[in-house]
Amino acid sequence: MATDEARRSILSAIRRNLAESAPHDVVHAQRHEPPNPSQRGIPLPVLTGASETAAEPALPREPLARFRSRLEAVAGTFTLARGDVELSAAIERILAATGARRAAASDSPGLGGAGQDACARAGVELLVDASPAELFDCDVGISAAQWGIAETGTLVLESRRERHRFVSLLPRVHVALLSADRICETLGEALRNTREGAASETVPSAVITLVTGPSRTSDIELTLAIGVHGPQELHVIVTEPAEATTVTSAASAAETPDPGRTP
Amino acid sequence: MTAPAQTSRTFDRNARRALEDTQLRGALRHATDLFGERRRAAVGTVTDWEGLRTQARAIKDETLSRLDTYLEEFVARAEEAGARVHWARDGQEACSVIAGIARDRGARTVVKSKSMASEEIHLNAALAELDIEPIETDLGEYIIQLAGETPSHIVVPAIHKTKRQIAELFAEKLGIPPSEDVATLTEAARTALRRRFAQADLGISGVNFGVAETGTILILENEGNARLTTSLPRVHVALMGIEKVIPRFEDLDVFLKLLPRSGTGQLLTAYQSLITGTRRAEGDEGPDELHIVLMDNGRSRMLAHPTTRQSLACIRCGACLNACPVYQQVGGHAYGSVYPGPIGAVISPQLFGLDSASQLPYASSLCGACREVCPVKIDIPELLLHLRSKVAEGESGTEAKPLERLSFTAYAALMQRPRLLAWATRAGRMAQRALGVGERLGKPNAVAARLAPPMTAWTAERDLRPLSPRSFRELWREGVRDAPDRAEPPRATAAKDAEG
Repeated sequence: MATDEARRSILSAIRRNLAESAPHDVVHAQRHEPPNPSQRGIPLPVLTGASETAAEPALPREPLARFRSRLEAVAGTFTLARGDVELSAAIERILAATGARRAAASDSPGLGGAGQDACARAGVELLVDASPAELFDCDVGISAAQWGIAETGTLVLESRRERHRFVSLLPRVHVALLSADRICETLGEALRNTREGAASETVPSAVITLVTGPSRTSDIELTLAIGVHGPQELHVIVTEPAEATTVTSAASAAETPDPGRTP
Repeated sequence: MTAPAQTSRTFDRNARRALEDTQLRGALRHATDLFGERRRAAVGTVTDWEGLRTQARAIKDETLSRLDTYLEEFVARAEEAGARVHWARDGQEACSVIAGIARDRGARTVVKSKSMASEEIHLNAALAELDIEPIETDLGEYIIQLAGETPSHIVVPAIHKTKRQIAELFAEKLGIPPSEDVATLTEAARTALRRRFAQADLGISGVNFGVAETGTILILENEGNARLTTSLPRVHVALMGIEKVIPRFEDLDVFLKLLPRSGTGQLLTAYQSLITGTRRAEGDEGPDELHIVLMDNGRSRMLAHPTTRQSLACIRCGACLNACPVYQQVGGHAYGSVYPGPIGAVISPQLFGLDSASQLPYASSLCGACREVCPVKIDIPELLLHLRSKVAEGESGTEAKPLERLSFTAYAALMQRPRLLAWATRAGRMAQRALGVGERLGKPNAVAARLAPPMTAWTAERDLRPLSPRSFRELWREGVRDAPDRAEPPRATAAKDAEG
């Protein structure tokens, strides 16, 4: 087969050229910085949320607050909802503000009745299990997000957990529910979390989508335009259990205050 | 498919023309200043930016030194997850593979998200031969496709076009009333392209990174067109240069911290799609088929020397373009290559042949701004000098300039013979006096005025200084080394002291 022949040829070209380089590599190494040891030997630069806030002291330290700050900086909106009643009210407010007529929901269990209640009260038609063709005609898509990332205000959507690939993309407005205890400090942490699960599930989802704000472009004279091919509005509703009085997050239990740092 | 028509042989002519285009220069200045500022601010959000760069370069070096192994691992994992991988030795083979997939699936409407590699191989032209017109969906690429032009910047391809030009273009091609309002223009493009997305049979994308450990491909974007291109059609074709592979899933963290900050000053672009194979079950969302086309097209050759190998570390962020004083003045079209700017000046000759791009390694003052901003620490000036030496030695059919060679041979002969040098200097001073130039007249360019071409090529933009009355070697022999720190030689000072 042509592709097998190409494969053999390319791999052998790689090996041949690397071999040709070998004597030059020795000389080059003598003249330049010592080559870096293998990846495993280098400690990652300290890139945890804590040290990043050292670079930006004005940024809130607490992950939920930092998530909010970053999200709003990229034109996303943030709402905190404790319990189903508040959640439903929050969705209803967004539906009213966007003037939606038709909404679509993913199959996320977290949406439950809250989505239906909100749509019913707002007089918005709600589609469940909509096809892409139907989604092109929907004004609002409602889904959950599996993780949040505090350092960038990002949502992580895993296709194996929920059917939200098109609900989060086709309608002009995306409403995303995120449980507060799913907010990670860093991208690295979120990537690791997507790989945890049952032993048979270490293969990632067919697609993992990271969403940071609504769609945008500066292609025309560098003027920012929000809303291009993806959604024009991103509304994140962070949810907590109704009885929660303190804000929780994945890292807050491990977070110890630094006495040397000014608050 | 023949090699692209290269105008990079005429960089100096292209550059002169670009310098006369004040609108272009204004647009470039605006863009590069803005990206530069934003990049600086974004870099400031990372406490150990240098450590991050070092780590990224280490990952790339590790990968390239065992590229065959990592590619094989990538292919194995990707295929396990349901992707089909095709290998292409050159652009022609890649075009042929992709055209074959399109033809076999009876694809009529093909949508494309941004892929520099596809422009490198002129994929659109190859598909046009099958009467398939792939529709560019990235707004900047869509604009230049409608205009029949080529991109002038890696990140903002239509930076050379004004709002007015785009308004007129959209009025003509999309039939909308002319409007310079950016939101209106963007909405018009969104509406026009949504219809195409809905009908598309096949989507073609590039790949920013391929992860060997999991067979995942990652695509970064801001507009959402790549998500649509890679989710809606039944068939997704991803074109990937062989240098895009990285070893581990966790390595993505390092590159995702570097690339958006370096390119546009964003912490992250609006969307990253991490695609691993095809949908897992019937009824799941997403394409039925994923084809990954792994392309060489001259990349493996760059592995043959440590200096050129670093070219393959490039993550196509565009930071070097924005930092380059040459690019800032003349823009991308002057380079005559799909890859412009500093990185383009070093990879275009390597991908397309030294003779077709022989002026590009000289399109630089070697200031090193590119090296400073490169997130993977590519030493572009080192590469430029490496390529210049190849051009000067007449490799790959570049013309070795005889007068230049003669001049440098004479120079070497002179500099290796101190007595000859001293004699030549004395002779030069006598000639200088005879011609009536030198410090007494204080008009250095009078010397230049008496020279004939081709030496005037040197003096057209450089002052030719006259030889000084005493050379340093002569002063040294007379004991300037032993003199205390003062302007006059010791004898004169002692005389002054004696006078009181």
